[in-house]
Formats: sequence, C-alpha cells, structure tokens
Amino acid sequence: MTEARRRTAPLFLRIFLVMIAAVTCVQFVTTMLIFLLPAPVPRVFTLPQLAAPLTGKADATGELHIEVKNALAAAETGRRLRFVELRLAEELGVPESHVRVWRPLSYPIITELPLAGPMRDTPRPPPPGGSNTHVIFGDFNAALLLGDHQWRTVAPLSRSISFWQRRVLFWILATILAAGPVAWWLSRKLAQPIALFARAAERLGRDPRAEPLPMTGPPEIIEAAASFNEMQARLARYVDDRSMLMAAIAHDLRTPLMRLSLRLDAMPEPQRAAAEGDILDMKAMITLVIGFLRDLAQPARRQKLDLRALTESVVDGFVDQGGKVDLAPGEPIAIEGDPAALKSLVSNIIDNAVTYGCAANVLLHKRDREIVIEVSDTGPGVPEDRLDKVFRPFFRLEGSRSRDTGGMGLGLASARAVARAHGGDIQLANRSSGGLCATVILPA
Amino acid sequence: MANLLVVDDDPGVRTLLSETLMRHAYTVQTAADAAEMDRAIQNAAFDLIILDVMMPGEDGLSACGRLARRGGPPIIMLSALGEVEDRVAGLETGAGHYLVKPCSPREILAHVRAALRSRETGPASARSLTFNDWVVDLDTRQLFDAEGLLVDLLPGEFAVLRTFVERPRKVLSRDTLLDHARGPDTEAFDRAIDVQVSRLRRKLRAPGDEVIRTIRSEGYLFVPEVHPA
Repeated sequence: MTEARRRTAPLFLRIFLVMIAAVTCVQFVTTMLIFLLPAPVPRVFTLPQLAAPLTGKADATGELHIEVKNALAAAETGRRLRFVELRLAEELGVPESHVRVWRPLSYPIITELPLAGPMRDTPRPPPPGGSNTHVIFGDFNAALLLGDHQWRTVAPLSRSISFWQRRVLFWILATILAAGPVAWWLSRKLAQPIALFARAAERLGRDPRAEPLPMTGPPEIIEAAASFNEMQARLARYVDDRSMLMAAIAHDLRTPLMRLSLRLDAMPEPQRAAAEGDILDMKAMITLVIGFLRDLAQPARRQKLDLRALTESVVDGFVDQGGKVDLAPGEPIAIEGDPAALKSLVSNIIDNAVTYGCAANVLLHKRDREIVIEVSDTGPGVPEDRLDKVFRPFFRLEGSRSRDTGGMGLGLASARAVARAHGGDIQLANRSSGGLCATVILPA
Repeated sequence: MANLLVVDDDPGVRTLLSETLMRHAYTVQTAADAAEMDRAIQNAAFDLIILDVMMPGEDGLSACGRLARRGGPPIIMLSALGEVEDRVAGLETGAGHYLVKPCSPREILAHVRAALRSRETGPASARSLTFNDWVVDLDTRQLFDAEGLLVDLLPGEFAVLRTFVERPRKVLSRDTLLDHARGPDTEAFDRAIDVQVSRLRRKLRAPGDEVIRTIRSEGYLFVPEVHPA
C-alpha cells in the first residue's frame, strides 16, 4: 500500500470518453459525406427527351430502355400519372388515350406535383433545347400506342448501385480501416489491467506468497488490486496459522511419545518390542495427518527438480519392500514444486496401486505443456459410483479401519491436494482391461 | 568418557534421555533452554550437544546456528518437527544430525556415537562438492544437476555417492562402500551395493562406466574430478 500509486484517469472516464469520441467520429464522417459529396441527383428527363424514342427516333439521353409490346396488361400500368400523360400527348400531338405514363407499384407514393417550371432542387441546369422544360424523374414507364394494340414503352435503365451509393460505401469502408488500429489499441489499453488481474489470480492459485500486484493503472484497478493484495495477505496468514497449528500438534503429541519411548528402554524385551511397534504406528499416523494438513496448504517451498529421479526413488523404495512396481526409463522431467509434497503424491498413488491392485505400472511423460504420471494396477478397481468419493479424507472402501489394509484414508485426498496445489489434478478410471488407472496431470 | 549436554524444555524428555545416556556410560548435563545452555557451556566443555528445536525463548535452530558459527561441539537436533523442510533447516544451520521425536533410544545412541566419531575425524572441509557440473550438498544431502534441478536420491544412494565424492579416483571395494554407506543416517539399507551403484548411475544419467567405473573383482572407481563448489 505504501508504494507510489501511478494515478491515471478512472476506467469509467476512459470508457466514457472513448464512447463519446467514437460517436463523434461517426457523426463527423457522416456529416462530411453530406457536405463534401455531391448530393445524389435523380435522373431527370424532359418530355421531348421521352417523346423522341417513343416516336421511333434515336434516344438522345442513352439512359432509356426501349421496348415494343403487343399489349399492356392492366396491372402493368401501376399508378398512372394522368397529368404527365396529358402533357406527353400534347408533346406528341396524339390523343390522350394513346399515351400511358405510370410509376411501378414499388415506387414510394409521393405527391406528384403538376409538372411546371424548372425544379428548384435540381442542381443540374435545365436540359438545353426547347423552351418546354417539363421534366419527370424517378422510376417511371411511358408508352405510346402504335396501333393494333402495339405499344412502344420507354423506361429509365435500372442500375444496381448508383455512383453515389458506391461512394458512400467506399467512405464507410475507409473509415473502418482508419479507425481499426485506433480501436484495437484503445481496447487493448482498457483490457490490459484486467488481463494482468487474471494472471495474478492464476499465480495466486499456485502460490499464495507470490509478489503482490503493482498498484498502477486507473483508480478502479488500483482499488481492485488493493483488495486482491489484501486477500492474498489473508491467505498467506491463513497458511501460516495452519503451520502453527501443525507445529503445535506435532509438539504436543510427539513429545509424550518421546518420553514413552525413553521409558520403554528399561522394560523387558517382549513388551518393549511390542510397545515400540505401537509408538512407531502412532508416529506414522501423526506424520500422515501432519503431511495431509501440509498438503492441503499451498506448497511452502518451490524448487526446480527432476520428477523422474523423484519417481524412481519412490518406485525403488517400493521395490525394496517387495512391491511389484515397474517404471519405464526415460528423459529427465523438469518441474517446479515442493519436493516433499510431490514425493508424497507419487508415493500415495503407487502405494494404493500396490496395496489394492497387487502390482503397479508407472508411466511418466511430458506432452505439450503438461506432465502426466499414470499409475495403473491389475486389481479389482473401484465401483464407478465411488470413483470420486475415494478422494474424500478418511473415506475408505472396505469400511474397516484396520491399518494393515486400509491406512487412514488420507492417501488420495492428500494426493489430490498436492496435485491441485501445483496447478494440476488427479483422476481415477477403471481400465477396460481390468484394474484401476490413476492419472496425475501437472503443468510443466 | 564423552561429556554430553541435553537441551530440552520438556522435563520428562530431559531427565529420561539423560538417564538413558548415563546408562550407556556418558556423562550428561541438562539445560531447559538456550540461556541455560549458554551458562552450561561457559562452565564446562562438551563433546556433543543434543538440542531440541521448539523451546521457549531462543529456539533451537538459532542456538544451533550460533554454536556452529563459533565452531562449537557437534550438534544432534532432536525435534518434534519432522518435515523435510525442518530437517533441511536444521542441517543447514550446522547440526550434524537431525532426529524426529519420537525415536527409539537405540537410534539416539547410534547417532551420538556417529557424531562423536565424526568429531574425532574432523568435519569435512567443503560442505558442497561439484563434479561434471553436478553439485552435491553434503549438509542438506541434496544433488543438483547442471541446470540446477534437484535430483532426488534415496538415503542409501546418497550415502554411496558421498563415499565416492569424498574419495574420488580411488578404487573402492564393495566392503568399503558398504561400511561407509551404512552409517546411522541410513535406514533400511539392505540392498546389495551393486544395486545402489546401478541406481546411482541411472540418477546421474550415466548408466554405463562414464562416471562410476566397475573395476573387475575389486570394486568401483569414481571417475570425474571433484572440486569444492
């Protein structure tokens, strides 16, 4: 808490400003598009321009589609524009009934103004030629009766994306491309403290004595880092308290046993040997319970070690006691961990395999970024519904509490605690070929 | 006969242990804490101190470190703390032996004899030795490879390795190895020496004759040069 805090703008303000900036940018680009680009101009045709192709002359505009039809269906004529028909008939000098002008039904209904005078909003100058400047724009069809129900129709050529639409699309794409890196950089800046947090939480899971988080960044992050560091300190204190408790148990139980052991020295031989055996049993039990408590706590000591040499030692120990344990040779496997805890982990699972499964086959290998220890036996296995229960402390399968076969039921609980304290886990599975397989996975 | 000092805050352990030792013809004095121990040392010379770890006032580890720096008598730690870390801490502060309560009187006596013997032969000059980039820490009984990885050794294997590195480039017979390796530190050392050697070769990642050479009908020879680390 005492270290200098590098104060920066609150996360809230940062996000708020970024949002405002983004909205402003978008609005700016849109406004620029409106002001800088020429407004979309509807194609405008004067009546003489329409009249020419209808009467069979060349189309001066080049933007009209000309067709001769045998009949005009009633539905095809859409919404007729009566006053345009009138003007066009006048222009062509034919009776009004020989002329049809209509808009397709899909064309939005707008109030059609009588065609009069130059259009105010049209930036294009009135088409030259002729004093008659009546115009029509938008989507329309015009038709002239040629006789025998034959009609010649003209309509503006349809274009998929007009020029101005393409230009707007281009601008939007350009804006995205220009804004992309900035957005990426900003998002990263915002996400950085959170990612830092995730990493710290992960590290804490492995080691409560890890370095505290740096108190830098926006105030929200500093606040969270402070709470996080406090939690870490509490956790470390908790671990310390537990160690104190363990020491107390060790002292209070082991000292009377020591006295008993010294008193036995004066006893006659048969009783002495028996009592000494009892003392050794109690010593072993105390060691087991204390070992279990220690394994539940996070590993106190971390050291780079060769897991293969450690496993070889454990296997050799079992072999010396007459156990059938087999370990294939291989390369050294480096791991960072608590040597004593890892040794008790390997020892516990091999002990289970030897005690209940007659013989143990140990495989040790490294794949990708994890280390795998597989211990399989040829015993009866464990009923499927109890595969997870066997990890509970003091749970034992056969239900007896005899130390000859069952131990104290701490082995697997302790093994799992060690594996998890090292950021890994242990799983049990019945093998299809019979027997049980314990798989320990530890991060490399 | 040797003069021993038993330092333990538990009166029962203190008197019972001194009685046991006296039965085996040692002269024994007792102290209840580190301050009493200091007074006793000022008044008499001791050949060996048996020291408890958890005591009121100054604890055994700190007292042990103080004595070892002064070049005091050999120390056997007799502690209720039995974790590997505790043993390592005890051995690192300068205790020659570390025993965990409860242990049988015979075990204590064996260590007392060994400690007194080592006092006569004098302590090894270097507590950490190196060969071929390997490092052997004789205090904590640990072996490290070139990358600094801790390579676990069983007590018997370490005893054999210790015998080798303290006598490099000499042919050692199986009996010599067995004698040295079967010290009081070694429990359950009932494997033939050949098995220990072959396991040690595997741990040293030199399964052939590269490091430990077999001399036919004579014994073994430790090939690399050994230097203080």
